[in-house]
Amino acid sequence: MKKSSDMEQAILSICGAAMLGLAFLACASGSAAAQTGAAAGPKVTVLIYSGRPNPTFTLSASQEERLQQLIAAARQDPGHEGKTVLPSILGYNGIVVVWSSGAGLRAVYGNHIEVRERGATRFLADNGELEEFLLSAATESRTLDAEQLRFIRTKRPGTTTQ
Amino acid sequence: MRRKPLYLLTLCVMVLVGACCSLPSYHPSFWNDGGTVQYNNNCYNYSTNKRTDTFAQPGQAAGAMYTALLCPNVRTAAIADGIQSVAGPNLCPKKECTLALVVAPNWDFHWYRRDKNGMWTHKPGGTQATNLDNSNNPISNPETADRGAYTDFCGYMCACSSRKEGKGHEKIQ
Repeated sequence: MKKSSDMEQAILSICGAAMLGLAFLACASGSAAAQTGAAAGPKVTVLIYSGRPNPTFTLSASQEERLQQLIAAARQDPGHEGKTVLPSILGYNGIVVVWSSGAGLRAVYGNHIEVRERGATRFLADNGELEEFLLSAATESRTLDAEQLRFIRTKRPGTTTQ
Repeated sequence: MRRKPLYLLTLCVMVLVGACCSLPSYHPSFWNDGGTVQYNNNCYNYSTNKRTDTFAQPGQAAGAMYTALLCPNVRTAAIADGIQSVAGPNLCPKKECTLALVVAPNWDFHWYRRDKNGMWTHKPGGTQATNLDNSNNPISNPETADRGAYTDFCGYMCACSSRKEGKGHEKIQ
């Protein structure tokens, strides 16, 4: 009888410890998720490398708002229908903005903007304001160094290659 | 009772075929999905025909990643991954895919692959896979193709590819 009750007690102790552990893990992962959620602005990737990982950074809430304003101000550009605005060349290939929430993707190269959301793609054009804004944000966040920025500026469409 | 040997034979053949090297054809739609595959697989993934979704780096899987962006360093790192170096473009074993490695010195590396039809194709980073060089010409020779800043031609290598896109057999990461 004593043996059996000792065993029951041991099992209960193990179960209790396991439940406590699980509860702790749930809390920890919950708070981590909350932290991640709070910081999850759109992720910006500057496409300058073919092999190495490309520089990335996250837009702040105010930068995201500015991005949306610039997209809203851009004009329709049906010239790119069925194609991407990002060129498949070695060198600077544009900038991609992705929302982790699944809000779609924006791709920018020179004056051309590709907006993909809810399964549809539309093409816009501006005078290079959106690309310039994203490059400035990348420089401010120290994602791009002077050499990378110089490389991009000389390879951008409309600029003379040096 | 008779079915068992037949089943085992089929299974054996499937395993062997799955592990065989074969030459890829140019089917860029697999890589050009405008999403996860395109943005997370680079020139090394495309040339080895191995989707990892990690922007694979030469030597990473073997714990021997390159330490400088120069031909000898990137080549050595790829060899650690199991890619074989050869002295010319026509020296790979019959079923293996020929790759070409180029470098923009101290900046970046890039890979091309030769497809079944003998022409070369590539995938510049997170952009779409293409059969054209920087001057919009089909690539019959990576040594003379317009490669922009990737001026150093490092040489040719051989990889165990697959006819199925993304299913190459090299261990890269």
